[in-house]
Amino acid sequence: MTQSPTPADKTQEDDTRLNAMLDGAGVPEPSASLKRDILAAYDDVQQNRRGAFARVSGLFDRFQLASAAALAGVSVLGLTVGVLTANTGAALSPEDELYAYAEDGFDLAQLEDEELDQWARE
Amino acid sequence: MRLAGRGDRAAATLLIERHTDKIYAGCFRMLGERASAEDAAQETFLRLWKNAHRWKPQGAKFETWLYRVAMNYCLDQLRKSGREINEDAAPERADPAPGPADNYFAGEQSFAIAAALATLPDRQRLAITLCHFQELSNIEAAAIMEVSVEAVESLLARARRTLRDRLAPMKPYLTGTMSDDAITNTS
Repeated sequence: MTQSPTPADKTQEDDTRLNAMLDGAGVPEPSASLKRDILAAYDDVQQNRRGAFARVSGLFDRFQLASAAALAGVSVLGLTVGVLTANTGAALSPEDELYAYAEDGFDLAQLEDEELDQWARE
Repeated sequence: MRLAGRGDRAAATLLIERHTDKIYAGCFRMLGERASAEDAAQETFLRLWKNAHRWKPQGAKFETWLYRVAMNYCLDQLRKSGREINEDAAPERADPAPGPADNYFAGEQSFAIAAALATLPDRQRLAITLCHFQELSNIEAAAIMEVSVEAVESLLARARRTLRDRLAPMKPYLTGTMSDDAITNTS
């Protein structure tokens, strides 16, 4: 004895039929130039990017040169100052040293006397 | 993808060969017109080329990302043209040229199904396009649509129900069970 189809069987059958119908629906072929156009767009983007990179790179190169020149200038200046001031470090007398290190609040006269006495003793 | 981003033309060509047909087909299912589908495919790849140098493999799967770009573009186009749920939308026939019976049935079937698809709300059309026509899993479709898998299943169920209803009157016609005389009479 055969059983009549249940609602679930009916739904499944409808689903199967719908799938078959959907599967049978084709898509028109795209035009032959589609892939070529897409590749051409790639070439354009790459060319623009290379152009932009070259501009940024040129700018960077210019700034790099400028910073190198500035560094060289500072070095030359430093060397010059060094050469010019090389002989200024003459030996100081105790008196000069005393004045050089004396600070406000010290009794300079007393310090002077003590130092000079000490020096005289030596 | 990374190679294409670095200017490797051969890598770009390979990507085009692998993905153009699928993306175009998906766009056609969504838009129903060859010219619009081609525009959508071109726009998708243009966005790809512009972002290729920033591509990171640890992010979204490449194909998922590509489909997402394409489908979002299609949804934008549908919104702009206000074609959502347009009963009168007449999609392009897959094979408009009349010919042997096989071609005739195939052309009519494609046309009827495209017309039925055109009446679906956008999200339902997207779900059926991705899951049925593009043969992606529900998980992949959910990732592309940025919704949950359950939401995709619900959209699919509603889309299938609507398609079944709309295509029911055409069943004998579409399944090719009509006699040759009937075809002659209808053409």
